[in-house]
Amino acid sequence: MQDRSDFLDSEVLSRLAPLALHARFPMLGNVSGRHRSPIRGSSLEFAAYREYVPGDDLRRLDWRVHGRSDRYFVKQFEADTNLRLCLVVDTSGSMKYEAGGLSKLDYAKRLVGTLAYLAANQGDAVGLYCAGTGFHQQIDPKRNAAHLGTVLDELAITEATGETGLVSALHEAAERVPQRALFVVISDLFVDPEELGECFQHLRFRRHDVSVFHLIEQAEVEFEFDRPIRFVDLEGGASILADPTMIAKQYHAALHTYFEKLTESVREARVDYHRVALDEPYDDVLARFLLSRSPKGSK
Amino acid sequence: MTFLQPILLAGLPLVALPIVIHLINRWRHRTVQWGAMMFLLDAKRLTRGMAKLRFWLIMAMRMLAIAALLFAFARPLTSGWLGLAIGGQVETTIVLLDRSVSMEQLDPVSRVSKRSAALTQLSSTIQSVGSGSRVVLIESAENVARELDGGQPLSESLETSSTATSADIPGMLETALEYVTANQTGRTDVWICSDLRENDWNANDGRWSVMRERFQPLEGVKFFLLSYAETASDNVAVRVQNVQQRGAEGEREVQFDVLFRRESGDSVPQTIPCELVINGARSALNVELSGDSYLLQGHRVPIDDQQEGGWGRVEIAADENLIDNTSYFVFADPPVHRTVIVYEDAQVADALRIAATAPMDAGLSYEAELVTADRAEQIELDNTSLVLWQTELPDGVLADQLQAFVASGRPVIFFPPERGGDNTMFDIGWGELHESDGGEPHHVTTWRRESDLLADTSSGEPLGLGDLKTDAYRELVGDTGRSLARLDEGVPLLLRATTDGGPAYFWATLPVLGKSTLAQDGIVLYVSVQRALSIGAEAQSLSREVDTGSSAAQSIENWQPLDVRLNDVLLSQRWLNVGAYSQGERQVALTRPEAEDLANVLDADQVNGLFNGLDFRHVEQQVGSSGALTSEIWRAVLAVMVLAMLVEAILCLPERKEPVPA
Repeated sequence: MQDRSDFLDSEVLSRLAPLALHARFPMLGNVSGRHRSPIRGSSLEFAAYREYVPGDDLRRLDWRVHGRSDRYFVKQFEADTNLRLCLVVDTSGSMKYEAGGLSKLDYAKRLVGTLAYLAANQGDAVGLYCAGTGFHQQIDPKRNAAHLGTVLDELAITEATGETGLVSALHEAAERVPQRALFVVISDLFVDPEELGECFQHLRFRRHDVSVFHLIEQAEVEFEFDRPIRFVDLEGGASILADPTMIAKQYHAALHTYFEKLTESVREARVDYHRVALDEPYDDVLARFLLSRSPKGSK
Repeated sequence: MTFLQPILLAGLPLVALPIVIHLINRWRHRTVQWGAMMFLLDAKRLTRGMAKLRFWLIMAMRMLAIAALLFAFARPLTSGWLGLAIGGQVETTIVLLDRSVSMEQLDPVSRVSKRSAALTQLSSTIQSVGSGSRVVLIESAENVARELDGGQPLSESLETSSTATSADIPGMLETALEYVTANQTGRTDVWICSDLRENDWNANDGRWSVMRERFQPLEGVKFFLLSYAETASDNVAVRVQNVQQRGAEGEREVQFDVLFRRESGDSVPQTIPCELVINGARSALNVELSGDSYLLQGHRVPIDDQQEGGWGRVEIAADENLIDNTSYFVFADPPVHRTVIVYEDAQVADALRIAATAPMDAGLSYEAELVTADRAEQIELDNTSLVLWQTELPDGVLADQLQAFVASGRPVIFFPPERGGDNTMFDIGWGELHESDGGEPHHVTTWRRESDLLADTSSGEPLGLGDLKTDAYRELVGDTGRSLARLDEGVPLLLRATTDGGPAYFWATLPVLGKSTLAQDGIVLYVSVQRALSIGAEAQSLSREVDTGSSAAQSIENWQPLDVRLNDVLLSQRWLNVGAYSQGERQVALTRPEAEDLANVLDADQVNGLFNGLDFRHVEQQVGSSGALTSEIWRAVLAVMVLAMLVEAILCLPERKEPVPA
């Protein structure tokens, strides 16, 4: 069992604290927050004009427009609300893959823990879904402070094992979370890209904002070995004895096809896709992620 | 393909090294925990086709490279005739070179003779196969084993140059056998270069079986026959024969026959221009040749009355064999054909006298001296052409006289005495008398028709020995020589003794009634006596013909050439080439052995039969073929190795990686 300090770094948190987590699409929250809502509200952000109908608040009549056009218009403003952050972590056996002493799951935990902390800190609800062979742990989003502790504790005891069930887990999550939410998926995505694309389409259909951190190690891409290797499946399948020099070309071809399909899937579903190598500092990855989501003109 | 260092081929199992290394590598594999199995499984599935082929190609190229390296070290040889079993280190190479006339046949295009082609090809073969081995040359002219200095390559030299002689292949093999047994030559290759002419090979010679029996027990002796059996398509041989000087003073002339033989046997008419030189005076004549041969018979040329003899030359234009285009002859007044008859039976003497003096040629003079047995010691042999001896065989001085007579090339014919006689001549003596006593007379069953005294006539008719009846004969004992005729029980009737020089014959019966019908029928006795008389007269003549390469020809080394053209011929080579020479009043024409003009060759089966039981390989070649008999091909093998390594390297080149989509 890991300690929270294994995936929460105070220096990283303090460095990222100025950066807010934004949703790319309007969210429906319970309380006021820093995210746009599809419902017009009373924020300072002007949204649009609408013709007056009886019953409207007279305080929102725009007299200047009346003076110019002799017609009654009401000014509408954006509503700010909070968001639900649903963190989906792939806990299949393949996430045990290590590079430089750091496994993919460890890296995922650092991303998840930091994001959960940042979201909770800005008043958003945080939920955690661990996707092994089906969900083996689900914590729905809540926004109280104690809930963050629950999420982090669960994260600490999560281990990678078994075959991946990411596809079914994402479909299930799409149905499970009724209101608009920000889904952040952290996985090596070793599943059929077309099936994965359907998951993303499902999430998008449910009006969720979807972001993906695709953890893939450089060695898995390059596949450079100079002598026969017995490859043991981290997800418990049969091992394969192969001469990499013989199959490298085919391996790269398969990888290339996979990436093409995956790129197509995320593009069609408008998924916020980030490919992450394990040797990349996770705070840089998160900073890039947060900055890319910031609305224009805000910090 | 054969190898000079075949022992290195023992390393061929190393060819499996790439597979062994591959298996070891697989066995020493690392274990890696792997997550991206989906790509690995896809890759494995895709690998089953071309990638596996590529892998096995790489393996094959590596194995080929190792095999080629081993082959190159083993020094492979290649040849146009596969199956040559050269193997191991050759200690001695014996070359039997046929220098006969027919080996001078030229290739129409390259103008290279069979002999030169054989020398060139054999030289390169010896340099590659037998380098470092002792090389022994036995050439047909001298038939002597001669070691070449320091493994020098065979080349054109006095010992290998052209001659106008014939070859004695069984005799050369005997010389090789003697050399091998005397010198313990170890692993020996015997190369025979010949054109397989029947007259050179004498396939019926009894020496072949002896040679086979003696070679068979010898370990490590291999025979290679480099044959050029192709006959010429455009070659005519010219030969002058039956040369006679005739006529009284004021009408002197020389008469001769000129025989033209076409090797190809074509019947296409051909005009052959000839140059005729008599005592240096030239004339020309054209001959129309329409068959395979043409005999210009009885050609007469007037000569100077002052000259008692002379020489001549007939020459035709250059064709595919230059050696047989010239024929020399000499002529002189013919000697008196004088016969001495020593007898004890007057009837016999009378029959012999008639046979010896009845003129066969009206232009010649014949005479006979009859000497009774008791006056035999008084015979005068100096001007005698033939001795007919019908009495007890002589001994002492008289025997020596007769042997000297024979040694001078003149013949003696012995007839059986009535009784007694323990003496022998030429290792042959008289045995018991056999008589039919009124019973059935003995008949001749076999006789030699191809040559010698009982040969068929020039028209091809056999002598009538089949009609000859023998009532009494005396057995011939001792070394029986060569039988020319046998009676029905296999008893020799006429024997030719083995002598140095002229012939000595032994008739087993007498030409008188009650003994045989030799005198009664007359023809056989007359022809045989006249033929013997011709031999004697020729040996006695001031001008005579000698075959090139014969022992008689060797004696003319210091004689004077009659034709200025012959001044260029080296003294040591005179006896091997045609020419006309004189010493005092005596003249000699050196002529090619007649059999060399016949283009009969042995076929492959006959040749194989001659070497039956021996390690023998027959290499059939053609003059002008550019390919060497053998050549080392290690460079080519190394090139194969380099090529294999290049292909392997190309196959192993890392494939260009597909860019990963961002």
